[in-house]
Amino acid sequence: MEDCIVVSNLSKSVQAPEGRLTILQDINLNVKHGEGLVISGESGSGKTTLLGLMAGLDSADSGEVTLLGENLSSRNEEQRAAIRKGQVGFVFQSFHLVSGASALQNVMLPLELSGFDQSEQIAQDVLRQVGLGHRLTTAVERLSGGEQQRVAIARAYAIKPTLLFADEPTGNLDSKTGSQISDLLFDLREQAGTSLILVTHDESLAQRGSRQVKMADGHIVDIVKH
Amino acid sequence: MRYLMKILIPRIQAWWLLWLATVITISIVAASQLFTHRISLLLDRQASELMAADLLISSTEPLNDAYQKLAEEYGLKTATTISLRTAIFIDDEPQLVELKAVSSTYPLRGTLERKSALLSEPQKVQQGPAAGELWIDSKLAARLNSELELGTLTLPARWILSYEPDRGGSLFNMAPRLMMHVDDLPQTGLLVPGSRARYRLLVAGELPTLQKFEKFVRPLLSEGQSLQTLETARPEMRNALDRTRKFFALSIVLTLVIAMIAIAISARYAATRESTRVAVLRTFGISTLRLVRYYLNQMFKVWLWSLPVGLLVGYVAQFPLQWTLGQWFGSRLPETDAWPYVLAALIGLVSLLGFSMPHVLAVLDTPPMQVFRQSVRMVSRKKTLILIFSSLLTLFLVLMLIVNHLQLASVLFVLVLLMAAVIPLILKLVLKMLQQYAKNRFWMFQYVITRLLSHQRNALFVMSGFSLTLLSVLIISQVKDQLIEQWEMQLPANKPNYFLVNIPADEVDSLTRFLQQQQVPSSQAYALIRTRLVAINQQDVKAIPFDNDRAQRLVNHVFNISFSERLPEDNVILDGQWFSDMPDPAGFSVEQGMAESLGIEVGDSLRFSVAGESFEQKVTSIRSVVWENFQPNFFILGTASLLETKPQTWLLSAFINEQKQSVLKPLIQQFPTVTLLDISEIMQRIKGIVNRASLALKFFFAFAALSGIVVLLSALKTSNPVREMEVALLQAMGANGQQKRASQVVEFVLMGLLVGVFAAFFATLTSWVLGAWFFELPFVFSVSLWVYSLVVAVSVITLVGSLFVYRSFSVSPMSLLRS
Repeated sequence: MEDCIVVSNLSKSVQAPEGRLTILQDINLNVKHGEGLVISGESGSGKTTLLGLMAGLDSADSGEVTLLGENLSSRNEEQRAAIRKGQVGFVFQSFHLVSGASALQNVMLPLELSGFDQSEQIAQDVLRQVGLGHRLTTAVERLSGGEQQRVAIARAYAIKPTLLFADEPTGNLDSKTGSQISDLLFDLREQAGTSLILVTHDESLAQRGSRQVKMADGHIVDIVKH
Repeated sequence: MRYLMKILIPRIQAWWLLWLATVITISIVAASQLFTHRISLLLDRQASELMAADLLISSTEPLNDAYQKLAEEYGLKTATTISLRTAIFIDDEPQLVELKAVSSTYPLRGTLERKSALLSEPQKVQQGPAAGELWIDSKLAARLNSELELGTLTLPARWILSYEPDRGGSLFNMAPRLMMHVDDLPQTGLLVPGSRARYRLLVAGELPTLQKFEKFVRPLLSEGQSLQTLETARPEMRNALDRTRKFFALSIVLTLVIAMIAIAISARYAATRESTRVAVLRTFGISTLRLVRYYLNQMFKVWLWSLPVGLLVGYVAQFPLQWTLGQWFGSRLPETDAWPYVLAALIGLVSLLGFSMPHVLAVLDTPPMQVFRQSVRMVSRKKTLILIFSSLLTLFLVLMLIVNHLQLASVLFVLVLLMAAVIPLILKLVLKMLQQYAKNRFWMFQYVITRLLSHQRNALFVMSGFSLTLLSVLIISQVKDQLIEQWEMQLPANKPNYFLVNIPADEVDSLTRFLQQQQVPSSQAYALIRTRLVAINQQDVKAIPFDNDRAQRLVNHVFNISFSERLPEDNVILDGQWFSDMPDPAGFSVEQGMAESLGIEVGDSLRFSVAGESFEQKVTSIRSVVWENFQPNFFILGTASLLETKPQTWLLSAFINEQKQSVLKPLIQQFPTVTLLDISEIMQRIKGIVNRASLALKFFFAFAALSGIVVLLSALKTSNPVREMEVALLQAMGANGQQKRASQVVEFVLMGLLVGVFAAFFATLTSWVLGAWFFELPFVFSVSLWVYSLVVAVSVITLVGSLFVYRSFSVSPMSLLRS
């Protein structure tokens, strides 16, 4: 199977009051198409930074990231966004939905940005798929936390992405809702054949990935196949 | 020192936006109060040019020198005049003249104008005739450069007196004017005990000193002596000034309301950011009372630091205005006292506490759990009520401080509340309507509309603030234009630029015929009967204790009454019936202001005295009169059957344009007793005042626009975190730079368009309503108004907004993961 992400010798540090602080050091990692990779670790282990660098949301100090065959290291933010367009979806811990807009409109947004026709029809279908067919025109701030995360998942899957990045998708939800959301994420991944890179500190969620990358202090300390 | 700094400096980082909004509020009040106060003083002064002084003491007996000495001791300028009617002989014919003897310092305000020949250009001069010369009325132009006998003195007529500032008042009973130096008067022998002369002491100076002088001298006045200030002088000028002041007050209030919105929005933003801090302090067991004290202390520091900057900005801001307006006002603005600064400081404190503390109090409810888990905080109903009550109370207090008049403050309060409710509602409705358009796509039109309707944007506040500002500017322009147009329509309807007064009754027909032959348009002639009010309801007016100066003046002075079958133009019957509606016409119709001053109602009886004969009738109607319309207006009108036999002269108005100026000479020759009054000069002066007042008002709305920008900045600052997240989200979804920029710029353009359309639409509507209902002008759609409104609104909002959010475009999408 071909690799959709290749990470080589990746390092990242930031300026802190006490001096330069290394967040990631010399990371090497490959993600295969259709794989469900989970990155886990304690707070401050560097897992979210790694996810951001793999998705091209940030640039590294050294090393390389190849996303969907494109080397991100030499690209600026505009060019990295162009690579993500229509191919990469995101699910965030804080949902980041457009408040005031309906569930349907939130899902239509990435479709229209990526130039899809029939955005309304596609968005309706996906929302029905995540169990929100009855809440299409409801403003998102009126939805429960679990429903909002379902809208976010529908938004991510609507464009039929090759890759989906999920950052602590159950972090703001109670355990029952969190479990439903993780079921939904993995079920959709299997149906669509999308690669999933999920960051979590929840060990039970981490067990659901086909591969688990354990991180500590900016290093990969273990890789476990499930 | 460090301790002192710690005590005095607020947590700048947390409160800087609130500090800025307070600075702006203080600057607006300081600048506008300083400027309006000074303009008001100048307008008073310009209006006082019509009195040739700021204050005058008038008497029928020679005035005691003590008043003049006293005024000079106060550091005030003085001048004296003595006016009397006398007869001179011209070609062995007696001619009644109004002789005025003036001191070398006359006039104290305004200028005199003189001409070397009837049709030559007038020269402006600051002094009257020198001793040994005479200036004569244009009516006596034929006598220029000849010797005239004044009693026992012969003086050469050197100049034609074409304008004197204080020749207002009794416009319609003037015989031709002769002006001489006061030192020459005793040699004429005209001034003997019992002469019907009017002695005046003219006084001018700075307002505070004048007020002190007035306060001191008023109780010393004896019977027959009266003191006039601008306020008690001519009714048309008093009305114009009162209205101007109310306009000023209204403009400041509107400007301030927008600044207060800025305080409220920035306070809400600052308070929300304090919630975590409050939660932490709560976990340490800090009591609510201590937190309240802490935040009160912070607010006080914010105010303390706003004060010097706000006052300084306010002080400096008046100079560009003064510099720009200098050429309009043609003179330096008078200095003012410290009150504008005190008021600005006070309003700054009241606004800051009133609009900020409720937000802070609401945040004090933050549970300590917030430290561990961020959650959406709901403000309790009680706290919401406190917030509303505090805002309303603050608004009312500020209004009272600004206008210092309970009734006006109450009206403005209701007006502001209505606007605060109606404008955002209308804008919201428009946005909701737009939301129904092109619903099958979200990006980008619906996306932008959704953002504008979002509470986080405060876009409705921003748009309301700008709409109000722009609408006010447009309305001022429209009303000013309509006002002037209406005046021009009132006058040019029959184009009266001259009043012909002192027409003997038997010359009315021949004069009218003369004007017709010369093709000079003229108006209907009115009789003028000089009379004195002697009794109201059979009670001698001298015995009635009136509580106002105006009433005293009305009963002490001779004034003109007239008769007319038709209700004069612009007069409206407020109570009772006009004569033509009565089966048996009789009685008097009284002007509303006079009726109020004297406490006269329909049914009261009035007794007048004319040349020793008295007559009494009941009041049958009360009328409103438009004093500013430059038509002959009368306090009292009666019926022809009652008044036509009384001693009278007549007047009429005529339009004598530049081509017809040659008519003046034969007119004066054929009708030597008739006096010509050129009113176009006065009209031009009044127009000048209206134009200047309008320009000054527009400058205040430049301040309002600044407040609008502060509201926009506060709203942008408040919504910036959300805006950055939106940009980051679009970026994560693969939006390109153009899409990101467009999402923000289109939002500002749409806001500008809505504001521009709102302001232009309501300005057009107001213009139509005023034109149709008040000014009776045909409606003309103004394309330039719409273009101006749209261009200004779109460019200001888009430019300021785009510059401010420019940095948001470079925000890293990593912030989505870290938030």
